[in-house]
Amino acid sequence: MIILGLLEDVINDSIRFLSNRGYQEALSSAVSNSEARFFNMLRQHGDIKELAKEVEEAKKEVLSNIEYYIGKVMDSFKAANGVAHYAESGKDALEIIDKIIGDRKRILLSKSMTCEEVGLRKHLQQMGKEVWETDLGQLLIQLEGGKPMHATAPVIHMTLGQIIKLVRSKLGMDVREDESPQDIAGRLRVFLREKFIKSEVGISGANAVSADTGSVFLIENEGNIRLVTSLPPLHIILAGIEKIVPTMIDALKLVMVQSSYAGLFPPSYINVVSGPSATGDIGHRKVYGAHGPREVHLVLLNNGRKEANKNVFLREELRCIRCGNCQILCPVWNHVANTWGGKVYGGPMGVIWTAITEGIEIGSEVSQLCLGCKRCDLACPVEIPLSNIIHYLKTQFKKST
Amino acid sequence: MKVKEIMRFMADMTLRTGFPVPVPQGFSYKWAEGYGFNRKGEVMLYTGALYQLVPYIESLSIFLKSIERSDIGAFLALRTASHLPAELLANFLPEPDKKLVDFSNKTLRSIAGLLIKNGVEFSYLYEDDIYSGVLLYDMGLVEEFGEHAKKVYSRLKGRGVKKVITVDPHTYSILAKTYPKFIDGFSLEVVSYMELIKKVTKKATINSLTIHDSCIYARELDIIDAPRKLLEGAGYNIVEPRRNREYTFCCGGPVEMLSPSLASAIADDRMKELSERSKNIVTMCPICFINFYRIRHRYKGVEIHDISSLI
Repeated sequence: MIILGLLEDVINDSIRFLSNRGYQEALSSAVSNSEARFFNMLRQHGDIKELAKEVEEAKKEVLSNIEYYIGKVMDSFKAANGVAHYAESGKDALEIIDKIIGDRKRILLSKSMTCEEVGLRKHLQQMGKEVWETDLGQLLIQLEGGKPMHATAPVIHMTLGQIIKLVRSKLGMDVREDESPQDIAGRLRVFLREKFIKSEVGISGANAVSADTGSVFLIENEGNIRLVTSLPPLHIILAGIEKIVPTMIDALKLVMVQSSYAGLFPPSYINVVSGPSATGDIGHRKVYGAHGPREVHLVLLNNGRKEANKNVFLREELRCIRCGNCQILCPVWNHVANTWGGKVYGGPMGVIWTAITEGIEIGSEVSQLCLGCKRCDLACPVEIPLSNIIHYLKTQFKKST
Repeated sequence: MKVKEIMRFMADMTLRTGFPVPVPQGFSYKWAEGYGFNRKGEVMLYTGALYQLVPYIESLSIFLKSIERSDIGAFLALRTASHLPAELLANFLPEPDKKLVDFSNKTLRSIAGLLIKNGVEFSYLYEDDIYSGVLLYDMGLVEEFGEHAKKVYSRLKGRGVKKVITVDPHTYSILAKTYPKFIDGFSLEVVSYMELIKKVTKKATINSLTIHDSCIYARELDIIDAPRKLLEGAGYNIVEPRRNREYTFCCGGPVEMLSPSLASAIADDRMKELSERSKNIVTMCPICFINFYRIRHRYKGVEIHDISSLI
């Protein structure tokens, strides 16, 4: 019998995306702006390349001793009075998070691709929780019901007009056609304010986790992560094991490099979380939950990463710092965004992350759409040989059924 | 499924006939009629037939578009074609575009002429000038590629070759960078004809032009300045496009078989930025040429030139 494979689905999805004029317009202008920012960054902060080299080495160190570093992070996190968990699979992560949340109902998310990877938002909604994304782009993705279209800019494909329509239809806001981005942001800010105040649980990802101190680094420009990680009494962090770096200094370097290559340097905020909020001011006794969360949990996620670490090609992708620059520089991604990829990830890095988290067979199907033009290789701050790994996935295609 | 069928077809064809698509006998060395090159020698021109294949690849892609909606149609057609005797295969696809056939032959004659006028002595393979197999490798069909590469290598070695002159970036790269991984004791020096030309034979007749770097030349082989020097030598004024040199932007060609609309959208991006700089666009790869050629009607007054025709 002749059946259409996943690759044919991806091709059909990409053709639909290609024929959406709004998506194409939005992407095209966002891409040329981002590309220009990248070239400017290289001109103005040439020294960032040296920092990137150090980050690359730090990541390699962790990946060659992954078990040791997982243990070290768990110990350090506990030492900082947090609670550390290890999840073998996405399903395990959801079970662990369910247990931590218990009966609490009102949950805020801070935009995390790792949360997307395990399907956290939808899962919590199915469990009857009230869940809101707080990153404005990611909130729009929640309203749209689609998938984030870029590693750091989830609605890179939407025009202002499309956003106005979405906010109108999904939030019932009476938005006028001529409202500016500033107006819309103001409306969404007001909408989310109340959610922040009433929230019981805040869930974030992590840009980096330092093994020496168990500190979690999160960068952002909106300020939503500050609120998600400090207003609710309970903070849960979901982080892939590849986010571990040896030291706090490494973590700081990593977020500097990440934001540079994402075209967002300097980031408005760098958040560092080392355990729960505490005070010793009252009667010289340590009390938790002064202003910030009383309880902080770290869930370290494997979900295919350790297996990938044993594969001579895939292991290189584990040092990805998710800046999304390979997406910006990729001619295919420029037109189809993350529709080219698997369930969650997309673009050059995304094809490989799909292979890591969904299996090589699926990664090999989607890899075929790669041009092999090697532009992505120039984009990567930590010198991941993306085109070579994607070529390896192509060699696995014939073997898939 | 359909994609796998196309891949299998191209691999079968390459192993059976030396070329990935059905082609008429002798098409790869028709351009060399009348030259009387030596057939053996240490320095060999190996075109890998990429320029010559372009019109036929285009015919296959037109054929595939015609059966795009039918998976079963594609399946049956390609399976049947795989079993046709070689002499019938050429009739299987639509007639190739005559202009493209002329372009290929003319380009190769320009290149041979440039080499001769520069005093480069070389031999030619004629019937052994078969495909390099680069597409099989790029699609991930490494076993089939390896088998074919051994065949190409032994034909070259059988003619006493030590140094190979290539004419396109794909053949250059696959020979220089990939063949050694598949062939024990690989010992061939590989160069581009552009690296051998010291003096150009033509004078600039157009005011200015813009250059489309090949991804492979720029990012894999570091051939960036050579074409510029040649063009400047002929007196051309080069206007650089926004994305150039190692950051050059793909023509979209490699995904033509999988998704013609995506390939064309990418080609459009590139054509737009190139034609903003000049109406005369220079390519140095037959795949780039055909991908721009395909959409040329959307860009009035724009001409695409292979570099060899300008120098």
